[in-house]
Amino acid sequence: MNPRARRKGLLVQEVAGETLLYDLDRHCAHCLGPVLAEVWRRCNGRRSPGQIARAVERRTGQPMDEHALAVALRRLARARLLEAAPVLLEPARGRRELLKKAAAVAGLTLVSVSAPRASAAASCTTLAACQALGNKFCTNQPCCTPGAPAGTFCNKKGSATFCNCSPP
Amino acid sequence: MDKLDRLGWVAGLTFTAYGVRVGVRTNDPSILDRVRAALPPGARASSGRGVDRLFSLTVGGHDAARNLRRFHLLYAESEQLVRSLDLDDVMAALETDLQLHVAEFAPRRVFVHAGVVGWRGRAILLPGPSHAGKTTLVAALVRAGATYYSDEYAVLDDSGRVHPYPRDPRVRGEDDRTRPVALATLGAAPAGRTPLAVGLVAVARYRAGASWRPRPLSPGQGALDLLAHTVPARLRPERALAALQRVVAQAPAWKGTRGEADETAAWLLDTAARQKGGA
Repeated sequence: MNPRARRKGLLVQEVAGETLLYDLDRHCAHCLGPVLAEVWRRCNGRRSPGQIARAVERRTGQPMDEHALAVALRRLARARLLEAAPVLLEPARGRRELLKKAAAVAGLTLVSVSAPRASAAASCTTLAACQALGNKFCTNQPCCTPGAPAGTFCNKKGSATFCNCSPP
Repeated sequence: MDKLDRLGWVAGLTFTAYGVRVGVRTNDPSILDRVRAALPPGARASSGRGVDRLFSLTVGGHDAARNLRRFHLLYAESEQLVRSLDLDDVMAALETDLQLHVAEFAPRRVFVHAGVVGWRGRAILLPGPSHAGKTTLVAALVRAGATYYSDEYAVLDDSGRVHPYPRDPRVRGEDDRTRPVALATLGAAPAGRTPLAVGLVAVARYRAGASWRPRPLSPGQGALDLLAHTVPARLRPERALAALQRVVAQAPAWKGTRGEADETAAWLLDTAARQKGGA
């Protein structure tokens, strides 16, 4: 099976040679290094992994062997940016060996973040303010510490009538 | 909503902020001054019937005749938002929800949770979550001569410029509640009024005893770090990404853990000034 990039449900923007992808289904965003972005663009379901590697090499000038391509495809697949992933994804050698080889290729980076809910992007809420909220209106805001346990959010807990600060 | 509408609402106000129309009604006219103080900066009274969101505030209190304590209640549309015997809790929730609603639904602006100061004609953006020390760093920058723009939201337009969000800085007290402090008490000049192009983005998280040794972020990674603090990221990702792209196209981004705010502030001002000189 040849790799095929996912195109549906993605917003694509170029930023200074990098490619930003926003996943409208999962509400997360990815920043693809230039080489990884080229790999993603060339995964059309018709090209074989070898053809993709050669095309990327020609385009970027970066040497791209089968190991580097395997790492690239694995990263894209884990970020759910491929619709069809080839068997090549299974490393023939140890993962460490693969990563070592891939590290020689610059621009294979992939950084991801989860887009926040509006309330999560706002300031924290105090424990008292959270506990005063009806359970239909829990804000999911981070709870302020000290006051609430660290790493907690203003959530609905079970069938309680009011919200409380609890782990996500 | 019909049931709620039948209650005795005797006073209210309608305002528009950043293109969003909001109404607040109450059973107690004397609370309106506190409601006005909770409005987002730049809110202007508006007339007309339609609003995007309607808040209903019932002031409870002590009924001496029946020896009863009534809850203070806040509704957003028909949903009960808060029920508390402490009016401060209710007003804090009203302020938070008003500002958040405007930040999420403003049609022509992208709100990023960030501190902002102006320095030599450019803005320094400090995105970060709560308790990252944004207000402390903003205060240190302002003491060092920068112009205050916001300690809560960076308000971006489509060209990537940042507009003032001139509410008074909120300082957290020992009870963990935030309270506004006048800008003058920070030794600051009046807040900035004109939109600025962004000159520097710094993702700085406070840790006691740390020293500020930031690493540069690529423009794409800078945009992701900003997106992680963008209020309408899920609602309008296309617009948000477009605005953030313009920010990182013109401003370098740095990320690190900081210790004392004054040391970091000096570095930021120096770097921003050199950036502008080299630009």
